[in-house]
Amino acid sequence: MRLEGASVTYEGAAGERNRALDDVTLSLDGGVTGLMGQTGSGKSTLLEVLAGVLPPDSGRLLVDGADALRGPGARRLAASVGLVFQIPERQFFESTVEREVCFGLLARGAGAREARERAASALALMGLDLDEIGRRSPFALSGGQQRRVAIASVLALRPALLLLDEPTAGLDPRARAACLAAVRAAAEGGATVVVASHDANTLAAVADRVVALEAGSVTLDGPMRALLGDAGLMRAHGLEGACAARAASALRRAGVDVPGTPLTAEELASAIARGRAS
Amino acid sequence: MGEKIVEARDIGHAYVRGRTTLRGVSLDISRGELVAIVGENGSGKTTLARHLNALIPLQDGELRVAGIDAGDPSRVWELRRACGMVFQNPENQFVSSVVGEDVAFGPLNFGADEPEAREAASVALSAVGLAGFERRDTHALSGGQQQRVALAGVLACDADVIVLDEATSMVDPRGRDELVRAVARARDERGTTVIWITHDMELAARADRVVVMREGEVAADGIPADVLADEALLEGAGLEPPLVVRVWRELEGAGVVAGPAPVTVEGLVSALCE
Repeated sequence: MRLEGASVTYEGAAGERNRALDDVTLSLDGGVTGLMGQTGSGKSTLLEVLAGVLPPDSGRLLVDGADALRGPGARRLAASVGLVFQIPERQFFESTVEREVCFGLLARGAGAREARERAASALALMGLDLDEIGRRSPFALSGGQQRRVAIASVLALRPALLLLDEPTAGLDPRARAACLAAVRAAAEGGATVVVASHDANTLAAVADRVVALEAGSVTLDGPMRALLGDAGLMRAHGLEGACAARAASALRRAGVDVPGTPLTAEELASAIARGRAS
Repeated sequence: MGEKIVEARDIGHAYVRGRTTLRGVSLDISRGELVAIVGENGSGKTTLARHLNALIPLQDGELRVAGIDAGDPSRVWELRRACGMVFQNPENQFVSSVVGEDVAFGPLNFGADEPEAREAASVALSAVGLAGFERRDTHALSGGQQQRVALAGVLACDADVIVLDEATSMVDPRGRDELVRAVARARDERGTTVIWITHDMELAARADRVVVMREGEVAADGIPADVLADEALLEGAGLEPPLVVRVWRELEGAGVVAGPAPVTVEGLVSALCE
């Protein structure tokens, strides 16, 4: 997938023009890409453009070299994309969790039994039991459960392009780990995944590459470790590095030797131990 | 221990008969305290918060907030004035698209006249660092600014207690820091009691006290240095200790350090520099 020179402008309440994306060019080819940026930097808009639900004012979206904004290319994209919104309850419309998770599968031609089986396994990936919550209204679930149901309803489709907006916001550590493992597994199964998140720790656990947006433009694009492990670089772009990288940077400022770019507790501990030994 | 602002005794709640969400929750919070409530999804944190704000009627037990009996239906509005909430998604709690009108909505509803409400809104907006934002569109603000407008709405009602329910999970790090600073300022200048429901253990480590909820019960209640360094307790509650504690345990296992685990980055820095 390739996005070329995409720009999107929204009209504000007072008629002012707000540029949400400004000449963005991006190629995606497998793996997990983490999308960072402050509120209003254009992350959600970029996900909507990549999903084909928001046509850019200018620029092109290509999938396998073919135009994916109109005609057969657009239909192919629609059949292969899964988008999880930032606020999960906004994507619910069915009366029960089972209907909600089966809806996309049935719409794409799965039989009722196959749809139910795939819904059950997608919910299980998110740590939820179809038999237990299948008959409940998705609107009556807790916030964390709603987010997991929204993600499961998209994972059940096994999309070739999986786009997730803040998938771990409000999830406890167990649910978060399940979510990230499912996202990783989708990428290892061949899907191209984009995860937008403010949380560098989430991206450190799942991403191969990180792209940062600022005022609608791409300002950083590189290997995950090189970016998230560099707390100073992240700070210079108004972002936050992974928790371990920030702790490493505070330790170095205090004169403690911390070699490398640790991103997890284990890596930071081992870097501190190596620093002490040397 | 100062004046008790929250006194909860054996609170129980079930949304659906037979499915208990809260069980025997007892909790005292003193005026001006900053208390973090942590727990996995479904552990009862939000249900407890909703009781403090009388968003759900008390089924079982006793609860007093700022001396007001939550079991007395005639005092619901008084209680809501005394204890305000800031939710996860700021857009869900705005009643007006104009910042000044949104913040003045509470005081107007609690009986202030227009000039008084406008004045209260403007003082509250200054207190959260948004002086002069009265005519701005709430939807055109950043996530952190929106949460501070929601906080101003609570402060404008002269709330004794602010409950923040996952209020930082949808804003960027800059917005989170802005909100944390605004809350700290309200606490320092007004003596407001703060109850912070969060999954962010780094944030919980900065509280005066941490309450751990597990399956609708209070599983632990103590200072961060004790609660957040207790891995067995946290694991049993489906939680993970702060990164600093996990780093300390690894170093301890490797024989590099010894002694009680720090729970903040500053604590780790000073422990390693000693």
